[in-house]
Amino acid sequence: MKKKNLFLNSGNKGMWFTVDAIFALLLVLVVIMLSYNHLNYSNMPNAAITLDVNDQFIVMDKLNELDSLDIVAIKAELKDKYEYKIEINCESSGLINDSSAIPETKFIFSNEIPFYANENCRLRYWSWLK
Amino acid sequence: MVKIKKGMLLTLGLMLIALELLAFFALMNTKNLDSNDFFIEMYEYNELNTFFSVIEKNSQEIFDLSGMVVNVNQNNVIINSQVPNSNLNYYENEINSYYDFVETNFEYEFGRNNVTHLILEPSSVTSYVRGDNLFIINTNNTKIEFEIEDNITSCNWNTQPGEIKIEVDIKGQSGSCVETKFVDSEYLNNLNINSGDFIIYINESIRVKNNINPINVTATINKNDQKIALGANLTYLALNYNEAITILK
Repeated sequence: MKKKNLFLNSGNKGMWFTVDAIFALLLVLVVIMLSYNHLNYSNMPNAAITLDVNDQFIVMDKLNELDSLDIVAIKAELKDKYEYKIEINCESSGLINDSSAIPETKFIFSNEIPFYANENCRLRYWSWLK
Repeated sequence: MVKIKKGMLLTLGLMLIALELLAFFALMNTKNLDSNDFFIEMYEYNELNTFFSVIEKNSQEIFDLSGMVVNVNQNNVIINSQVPNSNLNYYENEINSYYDFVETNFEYEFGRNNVTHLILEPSSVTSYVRGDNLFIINTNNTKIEFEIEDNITSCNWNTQPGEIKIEVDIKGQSGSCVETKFVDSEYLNNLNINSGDFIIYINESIRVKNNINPINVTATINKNDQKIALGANLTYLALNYNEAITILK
């Protein structure tokens, strides 16, 4: 006759089942924890674009590099790691646009700032990772 | 009976596992939401920072049109301006036009009283040029310097002794008027140069009145860890002195 273990009426099957379940749970938790950082910081590349691109335009404004109103020249000064679309709209010079298409499948960062180039202008820019 | 107990244990075990998983995912979801909130807050902060950086820079660029020059060192703010200043109207039109433009296109409202005034905070020492006069309001320690094309023929002080320090260094083609005085703020002290060609009135404020050709006046205002702002309500333009060196110069 089989000896009863640990005074359990059901034998030790339930215990092994529980131990097995706990190991399975731990495994699931480990996998989830490992992917957690990725889930948690999934916005970080987008955050980096906002900081990086805004900073570039602040610096260009300080150096009066926007005053040329030349979109090609402005884009040439920007970092290569992103793609850009730029639109300048000035009170006297009117709308200056570039023909770059904005992709539909990527995170697009956009912003608009005023600037002074002997006339009042606003600069709108869109940016995305290459 | 044994089978029933087995089943109960199984159900209990599964329920505990399910609860643990639920709690874990709830925790993760909260953290993920926090992360999104952080991203949104950072994005908004960065957008505002960008906006105010360019406004500050553009205002400084337009301020340069006034022909006034502001320098800052460890102890003083040094303001240099023509008196009278023929550039002020153009500057005032341009800065008001710029602020109108920003208000219209960016849904931001400026407090823009006295855009020609340079203000030190928190002392509220204010400097501006109006007509033939350079005003420095609420000051108690200032040096006024200028050079005139003629000779200095007379330099007459009319003062009561007190606590307000005024230092003048006025040079002519020949002769000069260089002196430091402590005067009473309750009395309208004055310095009359060349029989009324230039008069400097001193009490709680200083007024340099020029009655002949335009002159280039330098006012050195003593400061104690104050900030400098352009226009009475443009508080976001308030800069500490180290920043002012790069921004306003």
